[in-house]
Amino acid sequence: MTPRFLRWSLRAYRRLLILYPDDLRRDFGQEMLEAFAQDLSAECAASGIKGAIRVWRITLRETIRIGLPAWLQIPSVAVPALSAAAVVVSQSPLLIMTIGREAPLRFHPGDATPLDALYALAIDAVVTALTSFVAVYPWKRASLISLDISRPGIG
Amino acid sequence: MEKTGPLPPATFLVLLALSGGDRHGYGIMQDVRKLDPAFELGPATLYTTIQRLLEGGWIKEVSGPESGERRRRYYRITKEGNSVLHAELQRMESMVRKGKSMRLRGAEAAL
Repeated sequence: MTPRFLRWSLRAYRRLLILYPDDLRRDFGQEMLEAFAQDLSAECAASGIKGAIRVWRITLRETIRIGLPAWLQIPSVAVPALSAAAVVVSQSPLLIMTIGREAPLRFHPGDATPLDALYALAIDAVVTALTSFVAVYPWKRASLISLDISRPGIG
Repeated sequence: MEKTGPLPPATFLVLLALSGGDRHGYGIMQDVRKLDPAFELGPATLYTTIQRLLEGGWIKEVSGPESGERRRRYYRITKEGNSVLHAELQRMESMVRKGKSMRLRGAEAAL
């Protein structure tokens, strides 16, 4: 493995750290980065590309297992994500129905293709996610303000 | 932190690694790999576990030897952590004994 690959990996891991919970990153971010760097160097020296793949596989799996649940606990992330997922799940049957035959729902008969349905689904999911975010964000701010008020010595 | 039920594998292995002496994070990773090569421990799992163990008082941070430009954080198992580890080892030993006796009884029945 080249030093260039190691440098790239370190930069990529530093960015991945953003996905982990704030307190973990604040207290142990530097140590995590150092442990990752040492592990990657050692594995690359011992097993070459196989070692690098192993380290990155473990890292990405951890990011999904530890980072994603932490993000989903934030309402302004979780609600839009779940809303968009609900749109995709509920409207996917329409997309499937357009494949191989005429679309059941369309503005201009004869024009709709599965790709059109896919675009419509993607736009729906994005719009739903954005509107959910707009709906949830003030509530999140309100909950933060109420937290501040409840702190000892305030109010 | 109270022990309820069996310890999660990462918690058990980190405590077991620290029972051999004070270690820094990467040292714990290396020890865990030697103890159980099949268990894949990355930095995030390691430090999430360390964070929980520190909060629970099962390990504590100690100053390590100064080397290089930055002092590394070392971790030490506490008395409470040691007793939890021993309880877990006893539970495992008892399970292995039971498993072996069941297998023996199964073998006798087959004869």
